[in-house]
Amino acid sequence: MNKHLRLTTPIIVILALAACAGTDSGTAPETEPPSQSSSDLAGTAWELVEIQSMDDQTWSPTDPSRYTLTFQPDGTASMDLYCNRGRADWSTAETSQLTFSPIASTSALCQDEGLSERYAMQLGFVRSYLLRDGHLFLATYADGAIIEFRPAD
Amino acid sequence: MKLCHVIMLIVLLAGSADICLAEPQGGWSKNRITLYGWGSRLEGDVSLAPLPPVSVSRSFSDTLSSLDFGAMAAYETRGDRWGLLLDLQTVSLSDRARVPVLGAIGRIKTDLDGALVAASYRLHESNPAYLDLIAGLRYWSIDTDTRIQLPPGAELPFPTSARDSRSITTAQLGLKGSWSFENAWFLTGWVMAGAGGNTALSSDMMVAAGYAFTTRTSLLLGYRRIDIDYDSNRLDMDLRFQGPGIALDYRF
Repeated sequence: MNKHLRLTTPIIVILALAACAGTDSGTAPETEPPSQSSSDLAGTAWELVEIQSMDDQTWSPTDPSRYTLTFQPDGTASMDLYCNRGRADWSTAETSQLTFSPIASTSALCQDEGLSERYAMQLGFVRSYLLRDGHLFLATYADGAIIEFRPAD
Repeated sequence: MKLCHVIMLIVLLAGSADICLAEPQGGWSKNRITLYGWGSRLEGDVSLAPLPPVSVSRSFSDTLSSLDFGAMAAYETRGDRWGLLLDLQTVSLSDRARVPVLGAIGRIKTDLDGALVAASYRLHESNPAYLDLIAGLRYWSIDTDTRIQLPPGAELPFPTSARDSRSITTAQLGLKGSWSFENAWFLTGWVMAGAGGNTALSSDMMVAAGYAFTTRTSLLLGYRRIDIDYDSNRLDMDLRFQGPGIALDYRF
């Protein structure tokens, strides 16, 4: 088991448990879902550290500052995608749940070996998030990938 | 296949491609195709022997009333700093013209087909913007038909119509760039100029504002102006083709 797998396996398990807890509404008491403005993500800005897929492939940017994600308090998210920019709506309907609306991005053909397209594509699959050791981890549908961010400068 | 059918096909392909989620790749696998509708008008002077020179000039406020429609398509592929650009356009324009003969009315009809093949080199790329240097060859096929209608009873010592077809190839050098905003809007455009083949100068300027709907599809509204200054022994023309356009851009 390599270093990435050792690091991300517990995170995947935690995110999966969080996702299960969030969807098990049959027995849980009814609670007010957190509003977007009260989420701990609102107003935060992040830089991409790496994308790790289920088959243990990883993609890391050479310059994380060109792959960003900013959660605006008004429910919109903006992102730098190397030489493009993107936007989407984000929502946290349940605890630890996170989804983005279909992402719209400008369409310049960048020189980044396809990482910006991969990053935008994976964001569309995000279903849950976890804040740990100051980093943000986003898990995609069926835990297909984990996207790790660090705080933006 | 009509232009609207092509646009509908592109829209359907754009939607299905987003669902298919092809794996992003590097290298020369980055491509873009753009289809334009161009509402263009004709301005300028044409001297086609043996007819006297005729000229078309309209105020900007009259632009919409004198638009003809053309079609354009562009394809771009990139690999790291280098790219290849193909730009095609076809437009058929006609308008009334002034003739320096008392009481005479002129009419110009021009069919313009063009193709640009160019290499592009990325000079600058940052988070919101890029700037490419473009160098290539542009081929023009220009068919010009000039007619003069005289007042009743008047006669001229030369024919009242003339037609000429020319093919011109010019070298082109220019810049192409884009600036992206955080809300999925962007500005893009290019400016190119060149000479060759009896053409003193030809230039091509386009500026457009775009809005991205998905990671692959954008809609653009813009303005394009093409100038051709051509001089040979029988045909002397200084023409401008310009007007607003709408485009669908698909990246794959």
